Amino acid sequence: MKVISAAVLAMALMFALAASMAAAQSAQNNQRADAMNMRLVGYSDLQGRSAFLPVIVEQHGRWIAYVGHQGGTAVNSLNGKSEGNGTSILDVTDPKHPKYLHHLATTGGALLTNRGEGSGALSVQVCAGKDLPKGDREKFYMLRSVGSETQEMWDVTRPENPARIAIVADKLQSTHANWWECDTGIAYINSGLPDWQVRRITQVFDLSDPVKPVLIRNFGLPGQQPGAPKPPSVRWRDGHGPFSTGPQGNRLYFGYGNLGDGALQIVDRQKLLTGPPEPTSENLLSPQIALLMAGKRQAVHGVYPLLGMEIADFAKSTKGRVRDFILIMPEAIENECREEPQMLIVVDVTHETEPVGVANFQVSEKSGNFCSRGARFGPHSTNTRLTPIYHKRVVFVAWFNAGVRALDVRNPFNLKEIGYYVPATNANTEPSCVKEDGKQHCKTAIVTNAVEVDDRGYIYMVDRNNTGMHILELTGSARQVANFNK
Amino acid sequence: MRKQKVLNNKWYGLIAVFAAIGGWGGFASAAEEAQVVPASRKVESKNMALVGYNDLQGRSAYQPLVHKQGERWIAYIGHHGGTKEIPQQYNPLTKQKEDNGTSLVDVTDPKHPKYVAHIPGEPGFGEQGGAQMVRVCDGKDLPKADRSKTYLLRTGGTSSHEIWDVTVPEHPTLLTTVVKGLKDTHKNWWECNTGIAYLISDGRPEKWRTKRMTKIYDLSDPAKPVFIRNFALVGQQPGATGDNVPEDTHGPIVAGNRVYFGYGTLLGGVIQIVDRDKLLKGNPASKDPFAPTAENLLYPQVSRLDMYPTIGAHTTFPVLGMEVPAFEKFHTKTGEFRSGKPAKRDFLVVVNESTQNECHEDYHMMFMVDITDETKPFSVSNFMVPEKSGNFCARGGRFGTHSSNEDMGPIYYKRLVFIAWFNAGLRVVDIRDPFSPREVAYYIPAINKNTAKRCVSVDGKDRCKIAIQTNNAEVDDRGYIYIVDRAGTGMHILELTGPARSIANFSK
Repeated sequence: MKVISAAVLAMALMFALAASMAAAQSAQNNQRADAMNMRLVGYSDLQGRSAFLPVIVEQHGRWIAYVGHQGGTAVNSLNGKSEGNGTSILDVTDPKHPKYLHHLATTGGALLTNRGEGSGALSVQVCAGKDLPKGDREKFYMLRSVGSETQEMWDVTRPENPARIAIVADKLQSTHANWWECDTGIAYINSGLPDWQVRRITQVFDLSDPVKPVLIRNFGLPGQQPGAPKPPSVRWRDGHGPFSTGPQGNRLYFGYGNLGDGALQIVDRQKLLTGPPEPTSENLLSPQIALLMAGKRQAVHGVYPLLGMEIADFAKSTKGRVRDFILIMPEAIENECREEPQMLIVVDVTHETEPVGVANFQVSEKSGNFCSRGARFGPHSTNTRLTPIYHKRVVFVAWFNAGVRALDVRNPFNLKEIGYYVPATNANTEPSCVKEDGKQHCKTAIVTNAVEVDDRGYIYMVDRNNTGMHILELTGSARQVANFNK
Repeated sequence: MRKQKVLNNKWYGLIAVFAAIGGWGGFASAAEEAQVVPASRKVESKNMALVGYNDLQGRSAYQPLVHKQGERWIAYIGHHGGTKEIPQQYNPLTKQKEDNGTSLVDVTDPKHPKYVAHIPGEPGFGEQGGAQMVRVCDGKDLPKADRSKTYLLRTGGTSSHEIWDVTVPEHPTLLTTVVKGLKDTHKNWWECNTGIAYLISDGRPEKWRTKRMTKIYDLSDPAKPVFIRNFALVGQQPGATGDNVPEDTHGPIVAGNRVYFGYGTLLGGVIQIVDRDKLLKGNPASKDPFAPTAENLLYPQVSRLDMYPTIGAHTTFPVLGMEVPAFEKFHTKTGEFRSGKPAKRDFLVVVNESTQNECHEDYHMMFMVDITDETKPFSVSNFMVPEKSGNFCARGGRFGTHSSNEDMGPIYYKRLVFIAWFNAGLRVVDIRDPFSPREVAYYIPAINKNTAKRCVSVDGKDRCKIAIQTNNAEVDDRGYIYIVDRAGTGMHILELTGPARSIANFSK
């Protein structure tokens, strides 16, 4: 017994030593904010929770930010209790002084102490009842994923006091980024179903009446459906959710893959919604317009459409002046660049049956020695809200340890960085670690996970490693690229 | 009437002045009354200097190729056919008018190129005549040739492929006609170390559904050509069905055990990567390994990338094993790349061809296609000359890419590519970061008395302008750069200067 205790004590000492060494090393890597043409307006610590996705909605004259969190626990400062990471709800009407209104905690399977994507409540989408065909016009609704198992519908009309009103889906094996069309109620829910061959697919729901979810069909790439021959892995071109252009555009741009070997799929929305739902290879293929393989090294995690772009350089050409593009982003996964370089790629989809890559954007590694800063370096996702202030002009990309990068996209053949903001690390920032020669070393760095904009032009960035939410605005020449003169 | 003429002359003077200072665009419309408008009479350049010049007897030029032959450097230039106005040009050496064919120019002293011979080509205008393609091999490199000789493989207009003995460049003699009776030919490739030749030829006589496919020959003994097989994309073979026939082959480039084929010069571009060994040996599972079946055509194909319908794949120039400086700090856990060593990537420089005058078409540009994962080629970056930088759409003639250099000598390979950009002359692009190609130099020659007009139809009438039409570019092993003009302006021999020169590898 004594021997064991000594061993335990020794191990505890070793851990303490390792922790203090890590802390010492982390301290050396504390960063100050670094910015170009972007300025901090306001900040919330999000109670020190790991954040995945912010969504900002104007709600009866107030501006409310909903932030989906990844797993973990933290004390809710509003009630003093330790709560499993769920959804943060903030009033950002005054962006200089964001007010934390509510933490919608997770419990049970969703409450896992290890950080990560299988726990917490990653995805959040909010629609106004007045937009939804069968919603209560006075109400606001929030669709969120909970852990790996559940998709829930909440009434958030009073953001201080949300109420759960429906379970959209449960007994799932994975969840991820959802897309909810507020004008039709159609939702593309990123779920895992036990009988499908890959971890994540898309479930198409009619949520026009938020309390009466109707499943339309399950969707994935041919070969991922139940009964298909086993693919090389359960992560084989994992679904990562679509960007929908709604009934007007009638297109869905799906990204697939997480660790390379990804694909961009262009889908006819109408055919997807009305086609025969049985998941046969033929039925899965019938709404597909094109599938572009991204190669061994790139996955397609985020997609952002730039349609109907007039190319200034082509002004004098008689043909091909107006073009359509999709920005596709992989996800940097490994800390300290222990992976293939991941970059944003511009795909020309003017001739949508034959999409072709035409350009790329990378943050210069040397400009910030990002590979040695700690944590991931590379793109993750863009803003998804298409406000006229920024759409077709500026796109914001979450670039992990390089913060948020503002890109001038007016000429998609030649994307230009016009601004960036890398917040300072703080007391909440969790170190990011790598193993080298059997030893672990950790560094404390920003891990900007996602970025979103609101219709006032404020930019919201959230941190995967607990640094919180920074509300930003463009300044200087970058602000001139945006369209604020309404 | 008289007054009007004087005014026009005045405008000409003004236009010349404005063209010289780059302010051309605003006055183009004012000059439209004139039947023929001259573009810049002045050279425009950045980081490039003219070393020497030859007028190539005023012939419309396509492919230049510079070959070291003993102690001499000989430039072979393939020509397009003549024009309706001047079907034949005068050759002072023979004192006769001759159909455009092949120019042989001694460029040992690049400052003073010496025109040594013209081999007449076929009658016919533009691409319908002449002898546009040239490839040259030494007998000492070819497995079964006379070691003392040098051989020229050229197209005979649209009808044939010929081999000439050019050991004495002043006196070329026809050695063999490899194949004749065709109605189209184009950009060939000849491997000097094996003698294998890929001859772009009319497929129609043998019922192929394309005017340009590849006839592969063993020319290791140039006197005794041996036919190996026909090759094209699936869908182009005899008996294939369907309306969606892929575009014609433009030409291949060989590197290692791969043949990089480009199909579709200006639209419907397809890049095809082919396993050379499988291509030459054929499908062992087939009774007749070279029979033109879909299966046999697919057998050697590693991959294909279909560009979008409005761009072609005119030249597919492989740039393999590039160390990407931006990737220096990246490494994988699997040990595929070691820490501190840049990841290596393989690329194709792909250009497609502008064919319409004054931008009456889509903009044609250069693409970098990442073929590191060669089963999934993926285009990742582009380079274009900004139209506004020279008001090129108003200058006359074509504006856009045509072709790249194809030489893989150590001075420029993996560092700089030279792109013929028609009325924007030669553009030199730094590709050391293939994800971000950048222009470092350019040279647009002045037009001269030989430069032929280029017309567009305006309200049913021809409106013509005279502009440079840089058609092709090549480099030699000394680092000289040769550009030739489709509109007959001649051949300019150039060198890099300033910061652009320091990118090249002249240190040896």
